[in-house]
Amino acid sequence: MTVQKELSGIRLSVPERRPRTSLWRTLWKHRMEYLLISPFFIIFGIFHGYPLVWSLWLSFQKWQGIGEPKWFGLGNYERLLNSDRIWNALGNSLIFLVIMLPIIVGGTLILATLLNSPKVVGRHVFRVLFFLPYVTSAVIVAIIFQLLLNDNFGWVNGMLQAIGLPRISWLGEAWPARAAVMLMIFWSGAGYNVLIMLGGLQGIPVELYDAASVDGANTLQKFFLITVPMMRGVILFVGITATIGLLNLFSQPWLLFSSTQGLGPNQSVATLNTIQYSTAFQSARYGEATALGFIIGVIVIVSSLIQLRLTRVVEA
Amino acid sequence: MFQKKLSRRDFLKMAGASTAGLAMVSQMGGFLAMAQDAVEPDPSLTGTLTFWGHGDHPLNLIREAFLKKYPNVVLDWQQIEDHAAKFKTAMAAGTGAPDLYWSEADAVQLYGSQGALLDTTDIIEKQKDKFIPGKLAEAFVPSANAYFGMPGDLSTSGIYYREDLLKEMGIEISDDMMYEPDFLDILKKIAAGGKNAVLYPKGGTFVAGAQWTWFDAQYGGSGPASCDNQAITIADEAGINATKLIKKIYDTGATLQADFWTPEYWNAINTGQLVLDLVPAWGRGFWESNVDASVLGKWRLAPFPRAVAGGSRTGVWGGATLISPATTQNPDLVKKFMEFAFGSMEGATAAGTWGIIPAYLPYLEGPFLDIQTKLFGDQKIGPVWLNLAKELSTTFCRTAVYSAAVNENLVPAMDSMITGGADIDETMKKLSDQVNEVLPDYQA
Repeated sequence: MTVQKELSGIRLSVPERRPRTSLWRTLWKHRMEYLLISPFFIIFGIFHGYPLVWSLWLSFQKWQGIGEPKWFGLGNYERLLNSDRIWNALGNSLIFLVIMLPIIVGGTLILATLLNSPKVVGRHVFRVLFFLPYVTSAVIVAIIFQLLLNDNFGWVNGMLQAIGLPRISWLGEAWPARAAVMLMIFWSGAGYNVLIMLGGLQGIPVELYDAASVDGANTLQKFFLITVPMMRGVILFVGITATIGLLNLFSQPWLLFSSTQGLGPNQSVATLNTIQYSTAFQSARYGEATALGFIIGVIVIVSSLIQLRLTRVVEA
Repeated sequence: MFQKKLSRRDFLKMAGASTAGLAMVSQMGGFLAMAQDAVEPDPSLTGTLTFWGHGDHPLNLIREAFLKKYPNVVLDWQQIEDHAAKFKTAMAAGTGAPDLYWSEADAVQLYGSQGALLDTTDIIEKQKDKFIPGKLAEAFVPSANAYFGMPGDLSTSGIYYREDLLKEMGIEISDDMMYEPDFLDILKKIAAGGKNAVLYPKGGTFVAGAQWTWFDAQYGGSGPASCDNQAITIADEAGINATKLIKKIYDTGATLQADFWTPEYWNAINTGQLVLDLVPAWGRGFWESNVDASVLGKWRLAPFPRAVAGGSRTGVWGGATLISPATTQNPDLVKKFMEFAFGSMEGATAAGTWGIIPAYLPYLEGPFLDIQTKLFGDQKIGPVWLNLAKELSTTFCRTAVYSAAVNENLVPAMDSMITGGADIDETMKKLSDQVNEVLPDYQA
């Protein structure tokens, strides 16, 4: 905004000077609004902000959970990056991510599409059934999976045997153990993602499908040319949250392989989080465990940023 | 419905068995009553103590006995499965820990060396000679030159075996044999007979950790570290021999692919498939709760074989110490409870009745010698455990680095050596280097 000033007969346009307002004055002016939103920030500061800063400080210390922490510099990070266990766990996490991400995103989109179709009889019942595992305790799910996949008495092996196939050592061999964890992840988490996908599907205007039908598009064409593009945002959301979940995998391997503290046969299902828990609560090296927490955090943030960037590239 | 006519001989048999049973029950009842009748309530003692531990805990019976004697004391028992993580968190926070905690030996060393536990030297010194030395050593922290806690259950271990089934296979278990060749030969015979003995689950799991711990002590090792926690000894001669023995046992083909206390384990016991196993003394409580009534009374107990001539016939695995954080607000009451629990006849009797073996010698050399158990039937197991308790190594230590060494490093690597063909000497050396790197973290 400018004002016209006349100086010695010449008209000048100069920017209008805004009245100077200090931060404190602004705060005071909006004190009631700030007061009303302050509980969130206070609670966030106490339960998230302070622990985060304290953990960062602790990650540069040696501390056994007792006595005074001792400065260790980057020692914890160095130790972790030189540890075979960490690279093995990261490898496992990447295996879970690479295999499970397309299954979770693709599988739940297909399931949601089916559950959204009026042609599916009893789809409302199925929606509830799919969501039930999500609200079931992970401990109970793990116990059921242990019983189902038990090498000798498990129902899965019983069925395999009944149809003439060899029994599989689900909980005793590396790859079957990984498959067991992945099965549990999908079974217990699919309901939530299906729900999100369903929300997205129901937001797609029906007219688009009607128009496509008039133009002679078949079901597959409608799915790939209407549903998938229209669901891009939802797919991205599910993809990012699934990535975060898979990189933070803990309860499934921990509970399914409790006798090996979540490591599984030959450490095949060990993840960064199971290692982190053991480092803290079994081996009492809290500084190292928090350092690992920050490493996990960086990996999750970087992978999420890559996904966002890739999506933008695809959209462009 | 078919009804068998009761003959005079059958009647006499039944009557005889009933009389014997009643006599046994009355003897046990009398024995328990003796311990309980002697209790004279003392209402003057007051206060509240909290305790954290797992469910179905040996301290439950001790609690009952304590409350009979001190009815005005409140004992707040919180039995939760994640008690270990919760306890460590409370200790790290410096507040909120219970007055009493059932602790593993390495935690006693970790917290004791930092002065975070209640010093119990005064109550231990009063009756130091009344405890099994091997167990008492677990409560002693060399760097502080003090005792922290009260010795809980003995981690003495032995062979549990089915005498009847082994006899059918022409196998006899001796009280004095060597792992090589005696025990390995027995395992080969068991394998040839289509049965299983000793566990080795895929992945090794904590079964392998237990076996290594037992055998290392039997080979004269000090555990994964020296008792002063200054040097890593996981790959010393004893440590390497212990690992090689696990492999030799596995190579006999007798081992059962099952973990401790799993459905496969109980099934193999109930069906007579598992005819012999290496089990800690405290395992009896779990066995009696889980195995079928049909096999109760058929099992027998024997010492471990010796690893070296003249060596100990038992090893150490598990076995807790009752500790209290230094921050407890009731140090006197805590000590009173500790003394009662594991330093008195009443407490030790209650612990023994539950199924664990306290380290209190007057009990072990007294009523315990006649203890009758469901699992071992008419075998007097008291003398066996007592002899083994006296053989417990006093130079095997579970120092503060124990868990990091065994559970974090050794156990995950065990399978590669036992079933994967990795060179044992080389792998153990590598493990030693790994543990050496974190050792300074565990030194006070």
